[in-house]
Amino acid sequence: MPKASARRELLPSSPSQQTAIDDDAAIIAKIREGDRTAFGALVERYLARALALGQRLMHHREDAEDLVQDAFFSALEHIEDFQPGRPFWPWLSRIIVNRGLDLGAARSIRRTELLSDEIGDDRDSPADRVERREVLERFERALVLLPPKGRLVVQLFELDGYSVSEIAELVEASPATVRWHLHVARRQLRHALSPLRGVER
Amino acid sequence: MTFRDPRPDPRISRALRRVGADDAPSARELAVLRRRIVEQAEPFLRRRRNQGVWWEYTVAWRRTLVSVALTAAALAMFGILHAPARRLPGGLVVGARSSSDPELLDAVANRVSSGDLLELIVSSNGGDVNARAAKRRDDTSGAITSKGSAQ
Repeated sequence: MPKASARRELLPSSPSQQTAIDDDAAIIAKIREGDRTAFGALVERYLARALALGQRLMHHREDAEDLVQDAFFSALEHIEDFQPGRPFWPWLSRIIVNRGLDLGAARSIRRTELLSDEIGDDRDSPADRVERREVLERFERALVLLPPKGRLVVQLFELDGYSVSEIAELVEASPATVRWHLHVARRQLRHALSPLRGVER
Repeated sequence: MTFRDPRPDPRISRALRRVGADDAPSARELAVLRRRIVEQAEPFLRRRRNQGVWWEYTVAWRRTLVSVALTAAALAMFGILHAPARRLPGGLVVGARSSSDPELLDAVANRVSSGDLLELIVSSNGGDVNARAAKRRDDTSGAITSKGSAQ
């Protein structure tokens, strides 16, 4: 799957939202009867964007997969609480965010080891490549050391094109709180990037 | 986006992509994960298939049942609070002996034998029975006393 479409998966629903809601309601009615095929269809429908959101939270593929698996199962366990006629994705995404923020806080230290070695550009001189790697390592370290909510907010805003109000709804916070998280996170990331001359290229 | 919202910072966006924050899974990886999630959910779905009938019935009627229960409770409370007070029948004295046959109560209190008690009930002549029971006890104790003195 190309990266651009993965980002689009996270964006809010299209104008055919009502059709999607109706389809979801029919699928969920079958799931309540224990229909395995219907549950598979629901998972298939939301898995890509759920996993993308999980990666924003966990910053690690395997952890994100565990989170998403856990969130789908939790949604299934509480499927009676879901009100048909409302969009399914906001409900599922809040489960993912709440669980992910809890897990992310517990695992953030471990993730400081996950640094990329292959970052660089063939056109750079060896000294530039070393500098680029060092700065990006510092950037990644600053990213994983952000509070989980701040890290999620900055990634949703910078990578996925979410607006502040959309993020606020997702993380169940006020827009002012989201703006504050965004401000703090971006200040720290900019500070980590400051010596990097070539990242704009 | 409102006028108060900040604009995305291209440097941060690029750096985020560079450090792999934007890795997208392949279709195969998604299929594997989907299968894993569905398999994990299968025992739960099976339970729902088995208990679907009563569960759905309960869920479908839960709002109605709650409303009916609340209404019934309110009516019962209203009835209790506003029920007319019942008077005791005239002439009834609390604590008075209600039995018309006090001999029967005496016989029970004196632990007469079951045979004598049955006879009392049949004959409704408690005085005789009590007298006979007392005589029998006297006879028995006399026999024991004479037996003891003989020894």
